Amino acid sequence: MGNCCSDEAGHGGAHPVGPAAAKAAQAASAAADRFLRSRGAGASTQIELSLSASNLGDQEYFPKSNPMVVVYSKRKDGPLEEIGRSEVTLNSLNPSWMTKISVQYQFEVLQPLVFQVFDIDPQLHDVSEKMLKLEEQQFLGEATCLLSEVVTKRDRLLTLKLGVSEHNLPNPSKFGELTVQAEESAGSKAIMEMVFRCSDLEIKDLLTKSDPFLLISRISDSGMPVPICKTEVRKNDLNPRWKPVILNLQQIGSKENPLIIECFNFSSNGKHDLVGKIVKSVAELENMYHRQNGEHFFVPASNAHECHSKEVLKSQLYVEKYVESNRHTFLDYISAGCQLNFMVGVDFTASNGNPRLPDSLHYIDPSGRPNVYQKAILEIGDVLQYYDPAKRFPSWGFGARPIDGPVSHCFNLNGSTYQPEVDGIQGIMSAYISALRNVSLAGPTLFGQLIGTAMAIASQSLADNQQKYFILLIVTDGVVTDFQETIDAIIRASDFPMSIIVIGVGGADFKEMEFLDPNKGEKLESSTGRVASRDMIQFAPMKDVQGSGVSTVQSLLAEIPGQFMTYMRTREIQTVSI
Amino acid sequence: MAREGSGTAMPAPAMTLEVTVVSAEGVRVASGRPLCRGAYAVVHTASSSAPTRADADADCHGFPYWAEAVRVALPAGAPALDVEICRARAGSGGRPAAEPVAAARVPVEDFTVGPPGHLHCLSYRLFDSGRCGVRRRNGIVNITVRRIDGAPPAQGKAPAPPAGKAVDAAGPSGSGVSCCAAAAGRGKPAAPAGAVMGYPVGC
Repeated sequence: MGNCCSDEAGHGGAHPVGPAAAKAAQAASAAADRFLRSRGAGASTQIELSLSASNLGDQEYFPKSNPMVVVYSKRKDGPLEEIGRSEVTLNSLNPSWMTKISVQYQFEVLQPLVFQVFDIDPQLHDVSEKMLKLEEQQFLGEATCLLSEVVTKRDRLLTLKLGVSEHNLPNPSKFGELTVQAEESAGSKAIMEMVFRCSDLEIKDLLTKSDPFLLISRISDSGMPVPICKTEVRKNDLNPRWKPVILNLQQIGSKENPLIIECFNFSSNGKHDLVGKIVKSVAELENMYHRQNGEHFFVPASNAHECHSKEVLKSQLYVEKYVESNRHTFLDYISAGCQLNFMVGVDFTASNGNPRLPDSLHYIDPSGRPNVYQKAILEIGDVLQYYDPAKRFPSWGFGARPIDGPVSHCFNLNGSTYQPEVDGIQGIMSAYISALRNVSLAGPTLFGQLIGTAMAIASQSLADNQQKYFILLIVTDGVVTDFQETIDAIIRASDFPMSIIVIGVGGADFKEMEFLDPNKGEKLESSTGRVASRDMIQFAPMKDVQGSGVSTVQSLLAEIPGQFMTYMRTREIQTVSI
Repeated sequence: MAREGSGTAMPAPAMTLEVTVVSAEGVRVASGRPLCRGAYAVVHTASSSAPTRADADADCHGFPYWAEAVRVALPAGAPALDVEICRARAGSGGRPAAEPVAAARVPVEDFTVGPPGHLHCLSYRLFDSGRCGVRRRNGIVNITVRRIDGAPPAQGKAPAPPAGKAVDAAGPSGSGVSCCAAAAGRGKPAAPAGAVMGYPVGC
């Protein structure tokens, strides 16, 4: 569950927001849903790129150059889409552009960037950059990279050689170099911790108890309130003081943006009554803290008994505490050298079907079209591989009989007796294909040993003092047979730096695998009474996603930064200073 | 499986442990109502017992929070330690009486895997105390355990938080269970388990 609001009333279910008009409540829930999906403390964050270049152009023939760089994002098999362009630097072959280009970093997708450098005609030096027609300018070179390649560099600095254009631009005779530096925007790190207190709450209906909580929303561009967070419910308290609320500057935009703070009276049927409302920006709340001023709640006109004006209540809101600080973000850890290590476990049970037959899930199509197993591995591996400089991926199979051996529930895909690693995603693919020829599919579907082996690697990495976080992908066509053993293994593994993603392929009914889905199942409990101390496993069936939108695999990957950050934060693991 | 030191055949050696009882969730007292006030935890081993201070909250609604570290000695061969939630009640004659509410058993295997000095963040199902016959489930307790005999902590902990107090609160993607380690002497207060992160509304 991504929710981390402490709702001390202990009720587990979702409750709609207030008695506002049904449409507004629905919009608020939809917005909350979008927030839930985009959560992860850094799964999506704003990055600013600073660019510079050297040795542009041919000094002999074009001693003077007025370069400008244009940044594009490359859509999947699609056209280039301009993200931004720098200013024109006059008369330099080694420009260092001042304009920063903003890009939204998303962990779960590959984000190819294309950089094109142009020499701008000096006669156009009065024209604004945006108006320049690039086709008419002198092309100086092009470079491509992935955003993840930039942010995983130690100082987030990547140098690329400019080269020929893949997009039909005429080539210069000599190319230079482009340097890309990424920086997380200041807003993503700034957090504000506040403690709110109310005095003299008036609950109109004397028959109901007063169980107040606060809901904080920001105002979206369309004017609709978008909920950001809420406090816990204070039971039977007319002068409540809630536990600290932590806001991230990126969520609210700027300290000057107005926030709506509504006080509701919690009701177990989900219809919470609005007690009062306040509209204040974070800057104003900070002021309230310093001056210890209270601010009166008001009830908006539509809710008030008098229909013409808002009713000001005698209850007041105080800000008892206000602390600004910077948090470590996911990218801080990555740039400091933390690696994400990809590991794969492939289901070789007989239910997949004879791999030589085209209807088998393991059929290797001679045309090169990937089967579902290959697709799942490629989709996850392609994103994760950039977070591991060595690109050595432990890969296993389970549920098969290697030649002349007993059934193994965890065998090295590369056929080695000693070590499970392969080189690169291609290494996984070749090991997988050759394993298919060398084993007989058997069964049953057991995850326990696989998870235990992966956990041992994570444990050894800790012992070796490495800053690694492991992500085990299990691709399976069926439901596990060893529920309790799997749960026990997962709970043991939750104490180590790893996450598990399980993808179900094929047409089986995966209903019984929902126990692994944190949104659907209950808290995992081991046979010895131990429960999972953090969410680190996810399951989703891999559906054939046509068209745009977030694919299943993407939504699984989007959880990883949050799981990573939970692990790091709860163990107070600091990033190493650069 | 990397079992460091204590293999399945060998009994565990004697250890000194730093156990931080972080919090508990959904704890009910004998009458069935949520635990209200005065709750404290006791860590029992075969050779020692160490209590935490009582939760100062006037009404924790069944979610007491301590984040307090205690040290206990675990004798060689001991299979487990126990964590008990108790509350102090005014007993007869004005002297406070300790009432055990719920308890959980922590097997030694759970904190003897992994390298020495690894901070084990563990959570357990609590069962009613002091009842013979059917033991009813009674919430969850969150603890951390670290072995403090032998090697110093192995984690990379070069501190580099930028200016300002870095707030380590419960991560947003989690089940709401916070496993904050407010280890004594580290000097960095962790936000309480109930701290709202300002992240998604939803619940």
